[in-house]
Amino acid sequence: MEPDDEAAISEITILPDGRVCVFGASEALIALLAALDPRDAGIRRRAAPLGRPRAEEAHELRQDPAALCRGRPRRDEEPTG
Amino acid sequence: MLPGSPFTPERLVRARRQYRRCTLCEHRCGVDRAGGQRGACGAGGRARVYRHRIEYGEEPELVPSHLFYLSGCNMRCAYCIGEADAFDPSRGRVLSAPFFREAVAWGQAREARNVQWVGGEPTIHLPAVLGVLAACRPPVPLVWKSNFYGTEESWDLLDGCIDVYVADFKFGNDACARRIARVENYLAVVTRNLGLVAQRARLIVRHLLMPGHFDCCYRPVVAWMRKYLPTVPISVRDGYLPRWKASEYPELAALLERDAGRRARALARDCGLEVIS
Ligand code: SF4
Repeated sequence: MEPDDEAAISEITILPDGRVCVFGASEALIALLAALDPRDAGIRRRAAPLGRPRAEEAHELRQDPAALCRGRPRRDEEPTG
Repeated sequence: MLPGSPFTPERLVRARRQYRRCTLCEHRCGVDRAGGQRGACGAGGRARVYRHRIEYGEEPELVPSHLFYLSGCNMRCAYCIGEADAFDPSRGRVLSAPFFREAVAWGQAREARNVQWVGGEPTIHLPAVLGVLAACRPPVPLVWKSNFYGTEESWDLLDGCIDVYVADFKFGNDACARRIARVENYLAVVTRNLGLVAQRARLIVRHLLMPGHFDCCYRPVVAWMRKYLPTVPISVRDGYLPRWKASEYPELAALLERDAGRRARALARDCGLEVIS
C-alpha cells in the first residue's frame, strides 16, 4: 500500500538565524542535506544507509549546486499516490 | 501461529478486553470504547493510520525506518508537531491486516530496516496493533515509540512482541507535565515504565529540548537516567518548533536557544550517558 503524495512530503523550517529544522526526513532530503553539509555528523550517520548510488548523487550535487534547483536525479520511483 | 510466537490467542483476547474497559494508559478511564464510550484520548475500538512513510530523521541505528502514524493521543502537549492529526482519532484509514500487509511490503521493497509505531500515541491502540501484527508477522524488527504513559498492563501485553522501545521522556517534573500536556503523576508513571521496559528489550530514551525548560525538565531527565538507567542511550532532539498551541505558553512560543543542543549533549556525556543523537 503506497503512501499518498502528502505522506512523502518532508517539512523543512529555516529559523531566522539559519538553523534548519526537518520533520519527517525522506531519503531524498537526507541525500540533499548530506550534499549541503557533509561535515554534519548526525546527517552523515543517517545518510550512511543510502549506500553508494546516493552518496555519488550527493557528491555530484556538491560539484554542481545548480542541480539542486533542477531536482535530484532519481535512483528509482519515489512513493506517490 | 508460529511456534514460540508471542502473539498467543490469550494475549490477543486479553488485549481486546481493554476496549471494553480501557486501562491502557494511566488515565485509567475504564470506558467501554467498543461500545461507544470515550475516554480522555477520544479513541474508539479502531486504530487509524493517518500517515505511513520511510524516514531518515530517526535515531541513526533505526534508519531507514518505516513509520506508521496512528491518530489519537492520551496527552495534550501544547507544542505537538503532529497537531490535529495526532489528537483526532477519527483521522486516517482504518488499520486492517490487508492494509498493513501491503504497506509493509511497500516498505520492504524500499529497504526499510524496521516497522515503527508512532502517534499520536500507539499505546491507546495497542489491541488493534497486536491484532495486525499477529495476522501479518512483518519480517523486520518492531519499534514502539511512546510517551510511556501506559499502564503496567499495557507493557505486559507488549512484552516479547517489540524489539526496540523509543521513550519520549518529555518532562522532568509533574508541574510542567500537568501544565503543558495535561497529565497527572507524570514522573512516577514514566520512570516506573522506563525501569520496567529497560529490563525487557532495547530501550532508547529521547528528549525533545523545549525553550525555557533546560533546568526544570532536561536536567532532571539526565540526572534520573544517570542514577537509574546509566547504560541506556539518550537521543537529544533539538529541532523544537513552536507549533500547535505553543503560542499560548510564553516560553514555548520562543525558539530554542542556538547552542541548547550542544549544551544538552555535553551535559549528558558529562553524566556518563551514551548520546546517540
Ligand atoms: S487509552 Fe488511556 S485515555 Fe484512552 S480511554 Fe484508555 S485509559 Fe482513557
